[in-house]
Amino acid sequence: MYTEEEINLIMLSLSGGSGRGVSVPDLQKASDNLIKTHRHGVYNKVKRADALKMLEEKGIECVTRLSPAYPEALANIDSPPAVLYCKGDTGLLKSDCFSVVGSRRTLPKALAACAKIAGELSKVFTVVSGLADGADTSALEGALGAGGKVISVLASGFDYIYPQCNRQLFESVATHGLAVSEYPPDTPPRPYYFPVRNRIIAGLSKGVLVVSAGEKSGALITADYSAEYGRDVYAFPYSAGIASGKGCNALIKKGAYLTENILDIFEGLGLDFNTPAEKTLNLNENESAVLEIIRSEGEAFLPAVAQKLGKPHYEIIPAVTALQIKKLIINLGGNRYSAV
Amino acid sequence: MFSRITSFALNGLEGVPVEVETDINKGMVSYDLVGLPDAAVKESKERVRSAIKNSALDFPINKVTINLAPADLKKEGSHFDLPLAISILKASGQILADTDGIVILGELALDGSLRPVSGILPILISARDKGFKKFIVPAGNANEAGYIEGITVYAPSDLKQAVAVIAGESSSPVVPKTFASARGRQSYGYDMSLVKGQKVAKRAVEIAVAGGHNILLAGPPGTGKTLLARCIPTIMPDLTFDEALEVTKIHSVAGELSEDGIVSLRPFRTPHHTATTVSLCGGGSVKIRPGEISKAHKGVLFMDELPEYSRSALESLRQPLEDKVITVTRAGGAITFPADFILCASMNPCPCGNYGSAYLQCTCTPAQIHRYRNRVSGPLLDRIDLQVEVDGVMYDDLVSEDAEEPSATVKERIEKAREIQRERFKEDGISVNAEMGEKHIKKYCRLTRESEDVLKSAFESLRLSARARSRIIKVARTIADLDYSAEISPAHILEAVSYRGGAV
Repeated sequence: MYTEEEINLIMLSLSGGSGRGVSVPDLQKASDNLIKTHRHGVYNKVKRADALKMLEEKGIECVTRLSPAYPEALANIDSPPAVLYCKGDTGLLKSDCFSVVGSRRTLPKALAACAKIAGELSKVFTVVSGLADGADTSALEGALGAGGKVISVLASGFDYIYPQCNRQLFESVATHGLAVSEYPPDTPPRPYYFPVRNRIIAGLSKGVLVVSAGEKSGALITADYSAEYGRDVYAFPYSAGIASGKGCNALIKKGAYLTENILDIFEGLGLDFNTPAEKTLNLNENESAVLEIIRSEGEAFLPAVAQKLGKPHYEIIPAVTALQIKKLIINLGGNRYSAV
Repeated sequence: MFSRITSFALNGLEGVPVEVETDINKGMVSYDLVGLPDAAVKESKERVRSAIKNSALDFPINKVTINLAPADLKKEGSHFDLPLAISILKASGQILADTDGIVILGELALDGSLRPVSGILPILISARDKGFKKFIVPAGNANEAGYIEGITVYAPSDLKQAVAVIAGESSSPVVPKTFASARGRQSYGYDMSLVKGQKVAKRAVEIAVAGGHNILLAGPPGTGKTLLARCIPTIMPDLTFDEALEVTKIHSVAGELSEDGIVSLRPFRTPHHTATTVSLCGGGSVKIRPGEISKAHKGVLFMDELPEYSRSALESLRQPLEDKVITVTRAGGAITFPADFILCASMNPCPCGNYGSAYLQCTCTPAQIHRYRNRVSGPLLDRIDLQVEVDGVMYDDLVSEDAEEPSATVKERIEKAREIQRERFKEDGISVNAEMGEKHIKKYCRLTRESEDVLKSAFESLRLSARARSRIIKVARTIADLDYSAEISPAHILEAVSYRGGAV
């Protein structure tokens, strides 16, 4: 199923050569040459067969730059990966992609907004992200929860899922979407792989939404690559003084699209978004009163809401829980709530 | 000459009769003590000798043999000094009066005065139940002994007086005490009205006490979790006399009784997080002593910074939380101590403590938070019905002049809710909602279709674990009881869901 040249490339990648940034004609012509420079083991026919068998057993499909399945958008960046190790539906590589990234330390409110917007994006796009805690997790879960397609780009081989606590998420990405890595399966994660990985996220996508970023967040690297590759950059706005929003605000100052909701992104891309008809929410009197106060304040403290309504606080607890169940508000911790 | 005196040994919370037999014979001067005495009893020889001499009495210069019967039971503690001394005096003819049926207990000082000893109350109660009526205990234990009805207790302050009591020369027994007077003297020193703000947590504490549920308070440091916990005993129903005796027994064995001689307030125990499993559950190499969970019997066990306790200490709580007793098994035998307490635990929401704070930035990674919370195992959390978040206190609340509700008002509501539960569980052998098992839940917590729907949607939407279900229903039952409602309404279910924990 792989051509001879492709196998050469895979062997090259498996033996530690990256083949990054080499042009396709060169790759084809010089595949033999390349192997000669990395001679240990890759010549051996038996070893080649073993290596391919190993990949197959692990359920890994390789998409090389010589393959027709290789996405054009990614091929056009400065140093496209020579081989993409894939688990899942490789057809998604050629779909319209949009990346949603952010830092691991993201405010609960931003996480909720991230999950929501990722779900909406996934109606049109394949949502691309990493696999980190925080924003990445929210984006993937939001899109998967809405029944959309996702691509998760890892900074390690598939033998090392990082962070470990997201193994389950990785499995569902591989089942319902696609997990991608440019590293051979036995590569453990290294801190310097993450920024390099970000170019793939940027390269695959039509645009990137940065949901949160501190001053030195990796999400900013993704945004920089996107700008470099001529893709649109969108960012959530933050009020001054929030550490996890400084990077986002800096991006907006530099010209990123200020993004409050899905409409801002679709407008930027020149697309129409059919706002789904607001579902009838079926709220009782208490619930609507509480929701109104929380919406108007943005962020509300439970006893303060009760005071406004002139009721003992425990009488509004049922309403607050009901609103959480209906996914209209989220718990920020410390008995504070915010509308989604 | 030969004499026999009755004393008691302590086995857990039970008294066991011990006969002190002394035989004085002609022969080489010696002093032999047999019958499995422990170190403290063996050492009594020197105390007894000096005390007798310093009380202007004679220590026999003969061959003295003392036996503690039954010979196969280990005798521990210093309270055998006085019976040994009396027995020697009787055998040497210095006491002529009859000593049958008198139980003698007490530790001697070298000058002959009597020191108070631990475990008097459980021994006296056991002895009374075995038919003994007359007792001699140290003056320092008079208060403790005064609460037991149907016995005559003499409390001499030294050996000479003890001899006089036996001779019938001085005979004014201890005046019986009433429980009400002790209760009037003791107070908690805390009150709910001291806790400013924290409305959500206060309500949760009220529900916890009303239904006997365990509770976990999660919140940033310095927000009043400890103060709130200290107020829990103040809203619990008063101890009845029988309960108080039960608690006093345990504290007496542990040697922690106050001057008053009885525990009339609900205990509040705060073992430090370095506490070992043995100190929590009870144990000891020779004498098995009650641990913190037994000392918290009928009261509150407060575990501050729950994740900091060692894993084995936390896991050891699981069985007593379920059974309300702890059985400590050692090579020397097994002893069961009661351990019926409300567990109140507190923890920070994350290692740095600022997660969820409105003012401070949390600096923990999600993985760190995950690891911190995982230190408390699922099975233990399953036994904690209410898990609530404490507010980061607002300045406005701290300075506000609004009168906070005093403990007495809250207690009234709780007593009513407990009354409803007592009535409900009359035939089930339990007394509060928290003790309900699956069969009780089926019997008493039928949900209306509406409530069932609400619970179902909560499970789907909030991804609750199946284990949370019975916890939520039990708490909802208590909330309904506080509301004097026979039926569990959707609002009760929703409020109970809000205390499910894991919200952050």
